[in-house]
Amino acid sequence: MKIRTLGFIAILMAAILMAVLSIGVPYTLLGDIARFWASYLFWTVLTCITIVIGYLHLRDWSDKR
Amino acid sequence: MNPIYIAIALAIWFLVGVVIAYKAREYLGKGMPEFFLANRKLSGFISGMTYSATTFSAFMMVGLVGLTYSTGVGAVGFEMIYIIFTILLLIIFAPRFWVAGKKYDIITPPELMAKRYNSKWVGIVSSVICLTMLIPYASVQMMGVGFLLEGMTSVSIPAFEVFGVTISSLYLIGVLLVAGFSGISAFWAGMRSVSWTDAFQAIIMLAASIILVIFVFYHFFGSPSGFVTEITTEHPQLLELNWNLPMFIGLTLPWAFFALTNPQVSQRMFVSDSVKSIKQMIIYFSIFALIYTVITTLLGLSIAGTGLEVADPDRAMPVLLGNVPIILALIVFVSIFAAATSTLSSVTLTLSSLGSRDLVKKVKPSISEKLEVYSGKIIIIIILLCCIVFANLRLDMIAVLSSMASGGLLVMAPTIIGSFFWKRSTTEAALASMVIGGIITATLYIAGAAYYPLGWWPSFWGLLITVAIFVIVSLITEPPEGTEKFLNEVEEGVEEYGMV
Repeated sequence: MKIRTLGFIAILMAAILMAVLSIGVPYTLLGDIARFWASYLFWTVLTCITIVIGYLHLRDWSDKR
Repeated sequence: MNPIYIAIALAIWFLVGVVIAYKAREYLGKGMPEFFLANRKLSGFISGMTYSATTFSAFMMVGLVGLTYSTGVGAVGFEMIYIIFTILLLIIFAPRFWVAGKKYDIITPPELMAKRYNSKWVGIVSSVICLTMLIPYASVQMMGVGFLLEGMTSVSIPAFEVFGVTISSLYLIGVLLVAGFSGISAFWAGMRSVSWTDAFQAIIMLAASIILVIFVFYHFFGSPSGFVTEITTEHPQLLELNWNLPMFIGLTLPWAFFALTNPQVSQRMFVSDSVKSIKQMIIYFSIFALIYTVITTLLGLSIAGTGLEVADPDRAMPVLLGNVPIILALIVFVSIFAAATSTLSSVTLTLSSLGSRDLVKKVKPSISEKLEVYSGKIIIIIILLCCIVFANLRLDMIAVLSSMASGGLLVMAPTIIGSFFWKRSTTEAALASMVIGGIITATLYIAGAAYYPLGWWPSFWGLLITVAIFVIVSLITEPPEGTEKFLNEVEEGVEEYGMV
């Protein structure tokens, strides 16, 4: 098997980080705050960040070189 | 609301849908890849829209709205985590599914597993799991529309009893309408008609939800900031995270791996015509998913803010639609109907491909391709009939039922991930983990919450046990012949197409 590229490893790291943040932060820091800017905004922003990470990774994909 | 209005709206929608399906049929060629994968020739836009319309079902505007209305912001996290992981899983797995699909002429996800593990039994077991778990999920689509019809119409048609089960006539009409259109869409021209109608339906779903949320903000709260103030001051508990952790993990875990374990969506990783189209599919889906989820959860919160009386969470959306102008209610109703039919037709088509390719073909390998397609069409009818029966049993809440189905499918995750990323993974491990994990997960769901060990949900235990069995059995058995070759060929293909 080929050695993985840096971009691929970054996506794997992002997956682990997102798993920890998406559960850890609302359940420890934001869960008791009854405001839109707390858990609601946090999850929405985290999703936006993932979309940006995904877009940056996908930018380099192109048909047969 | 007068049912005549609903009938007219549906008739217009049916007409457009049937014309699209008919046009798609003109392009239909012969053979299995043509019928089940549109000959791997879908553009980026159609791939993205069919992915979105398939994954987002009646669950969103009925189930998720109800869940947010009743349990608050936890539902937002549950759905956002789904989007986050779907994007990341698509980036990792879509290139590999796509390359393997083209290289080995693979049509279904279980067929891919059978190829990697060099065993028809791996394909058969995963197909049986999919068929068992997706019938309830497909039925949920019918239930969503059934509830809507019941909740929105002012007429009452007497209920009747069949084998001791009380069946509401309006609910049954809703169920049959969804089944009928999904059947036509899948039966007529397979993936091509399903994906084209999906694209049309995805646009309606998004447009209708945007119009509805804008109307609700201005009509009930005066402005979006009025809505924020109302919820923050009068319903602050909905903005606090009040899901306990086992429930959150239990519902979210199957959702996080949905893109891999649900064959109706993972099969869509085979259909794009180029790398550019796969890329576009992921980007279009990401944007669609974010907007649609924000809107549906805001709608759930806003129903709480309106003070409307809602008997149970699944009726929150029908109650809201009873309090908006008729024309808007009709547009939204049609959009939910579209969400339900697009998911149901995709699930039905995928399950029929599994039935014909991974079960019928494996039992009778000499069957011709024409007969294979024919058997797939018969399976479409059988699946729809099973779903109609299941939907009329009206079990539990829509959101929980959907997640339970994905909880069952979760037992396939280690087998799928291991097939591409762990060369030690073996056929015995795949079979043992899926069979034992599947039995344990199903038993826990059937036993009920009182029997969940330490209060953690079946999906959590199912995944834990499945991973443990998969790793242990892989370490004490030998990988199947051809593993190295399969992995090298797939990775070389991924690199060759520049998807690294």
